[in-house]
Amino acid sequence: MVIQRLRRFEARPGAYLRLDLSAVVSPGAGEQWVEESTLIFGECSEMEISLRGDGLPQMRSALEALSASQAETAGGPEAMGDSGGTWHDYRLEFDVGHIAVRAMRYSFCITRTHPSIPGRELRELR
Amino acid sequence: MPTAFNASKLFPKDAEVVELSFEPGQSLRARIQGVRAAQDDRTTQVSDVVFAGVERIEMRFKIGEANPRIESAVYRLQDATHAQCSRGSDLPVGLSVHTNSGSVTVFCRSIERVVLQESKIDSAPPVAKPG
Repeated sequence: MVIQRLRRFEARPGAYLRLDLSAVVSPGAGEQWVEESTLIFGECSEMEISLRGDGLPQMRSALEALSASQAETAGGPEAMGDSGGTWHDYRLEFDVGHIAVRAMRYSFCITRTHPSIPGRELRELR
Repeated sequence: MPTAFNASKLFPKDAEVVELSFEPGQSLRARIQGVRAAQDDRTTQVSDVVFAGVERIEMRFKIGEANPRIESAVYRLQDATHAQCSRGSDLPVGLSVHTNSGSVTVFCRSIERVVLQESKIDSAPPVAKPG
């Protein structure tokens, strides 16, 4: 299980919400590296953030609600699908609060790995 | 002293919240933009306010309106409930900024710095002289 931690967020109300995350990944026995990623919600109509504490929030879950009548899909950021130009509600639960946003779209990419792994390049999931 | 701080001067009415960036446990940076008019002189003011030692942040913007306009800013000592969770006697202070589309409340240790930039706005374009 990979634990994502929130390192930073940047909000431009009415425009976008950007989250910088980091995770410690263990791809093999004795191997461990840090993966840093960026999650950007675009064309945001609503955003709600409630966080407390003085450490890096640890992400528990990420949900996307397609509409009120459709079931939510649980999983990490990878589990969230294409918005297709309609409003989607996203909710990220952390151990110290939550971030909820209504947005048209999002993008998620891994921006850096450490230590460097040969052959692994910038990977964009959407 | 916290009470000496004038929130409405730092976040003047009708100024706009351009950007908020937050690093958990460290700082919250707010970028505020507004126009100040004094007689014939109009200036654009952009300020960066940095809050250090942030312990709690509550933020909600309901409408997708860019650059929410500030309606009021209130600065106060934290409530007693939160005080029980704080460390030592250096109690955080709370600041609530209300805009036309939402609000931000932050509890922090201190205001680290304020950077203010001003640029003059030309009141009228130069008039071409005949001839």
